[in-house]
Amino acid sequence: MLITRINRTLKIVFCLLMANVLAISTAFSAVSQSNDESQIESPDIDPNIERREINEFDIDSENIEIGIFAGIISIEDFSSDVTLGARISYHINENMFVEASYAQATAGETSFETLSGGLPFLTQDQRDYTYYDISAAYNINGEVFFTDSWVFNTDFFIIAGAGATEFGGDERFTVNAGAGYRILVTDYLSVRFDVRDYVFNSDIIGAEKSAHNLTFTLSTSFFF
Amino acid sequence: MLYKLKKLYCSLPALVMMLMLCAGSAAKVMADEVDLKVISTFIDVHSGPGSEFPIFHVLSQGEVFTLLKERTAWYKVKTKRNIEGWVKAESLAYTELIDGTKVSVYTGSFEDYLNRTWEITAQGGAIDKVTAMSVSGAWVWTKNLAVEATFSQALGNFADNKVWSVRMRQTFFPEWHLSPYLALGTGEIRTKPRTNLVQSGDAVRKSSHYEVGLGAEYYLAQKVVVRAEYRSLLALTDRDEQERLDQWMLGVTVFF
Repeated sequence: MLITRINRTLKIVFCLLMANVLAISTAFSAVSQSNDESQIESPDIDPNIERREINEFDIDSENIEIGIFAGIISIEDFSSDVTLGARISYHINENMFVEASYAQATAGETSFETLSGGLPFLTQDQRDYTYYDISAAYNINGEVFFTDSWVFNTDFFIIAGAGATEFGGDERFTVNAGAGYRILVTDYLSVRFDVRDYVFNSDIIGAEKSAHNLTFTLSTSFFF
Repeated sequence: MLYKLKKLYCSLPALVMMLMLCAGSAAKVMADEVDLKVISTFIDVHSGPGSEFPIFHVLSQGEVFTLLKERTAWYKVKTKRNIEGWVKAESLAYTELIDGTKVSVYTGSFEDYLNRTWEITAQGGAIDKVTAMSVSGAWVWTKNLAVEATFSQALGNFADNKVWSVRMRQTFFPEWHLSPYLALGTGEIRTKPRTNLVQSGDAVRKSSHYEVGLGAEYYLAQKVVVRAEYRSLLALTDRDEQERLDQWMLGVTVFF
């Protein structure tokens, strides 16, 4: 009873605040508009140069890279498995890009489970290992010369980020760091090799510790 | 089915980011080629889209060349003699269209920042001392006002918290390099206890919340803005007391 009343009061207060923000902002934009007008009125400078934005011409802009990757993940205590995933990157400038990736694998058995042949630690569902992250990378641009005329642009990059791993029935905060090498086969097609370490705190097999999960992946991606 | 749905839900921040990036790319559709004429003494042509790549060719005054595509403020060009290379976006200021019209380009400069329409932000920080991360997308409505959708996740030792919110952001001095703002919003908090806590059960607790945010944006470099923020969340719980949460975030914004 009391709670619903508080909720209602809060809602009213909230609506009022929103209305206030709107009122203030309209006032602000009105002020800035009137400033603009006063600037336009001054006739001292008339550059009289017509400029056109390059963007008007719809020049193909290729800053987004979408790719799929495959490789090997070594899941601490639970043997290694094939990992498959997808990622999307946005190239901010010539040296930086950010990316989001999502991948999955299936964890195997611990040595103890294999040797004892007894009780498994996890159910089959809990062995599904999925992880995602948002990371930022710094590119060191270069070129690779296979022959005099067979030359490709490349970059070596260092990358780090954060995300989560769902494994053993729980989702765990996961940080990752690593490096990679990308060869641009054409302007829009690239092949890339990554080595990354995904670290999270795990208490699956007893005392809490940080679990390091190394991945080696090869990916191909398109810029568009 | 449920399990799959759950999995999908878990990867939401990544998916949201992907969708937002896709939306950004969908705005630009087809390539078209444009011919430009050099009006300065010369323009350097690099072998790749970056200042580190060597200059292997020079476009001379009066030469006409074709723009093919753009990547990270670099333009791929083709000369009349079919030499292809990359020129810096800024160099296009020293060119004009064949009809003599001047051209200007989008480089993600501070002026472009002032006229931005979309923002994507990724942040890291803490919600009540638990490590948290968040992604958000904003539509910049006027210079002062933006509408923003945010998703945060805090994975603690005892629970997994997910927070959705929609909010309105008011920037007081949009033309400042370091620009403070106030945000008001509402949304939902979902808390799922960790499976290693036997007593807690497996139920997901949902409660709606209101939030007030105070932060600042700083224009750092080409297309990049750094953003720091404090949010105070008031969760409307079923219990007798309302719950207050403090959230501190620091991250990077990319604008379009």
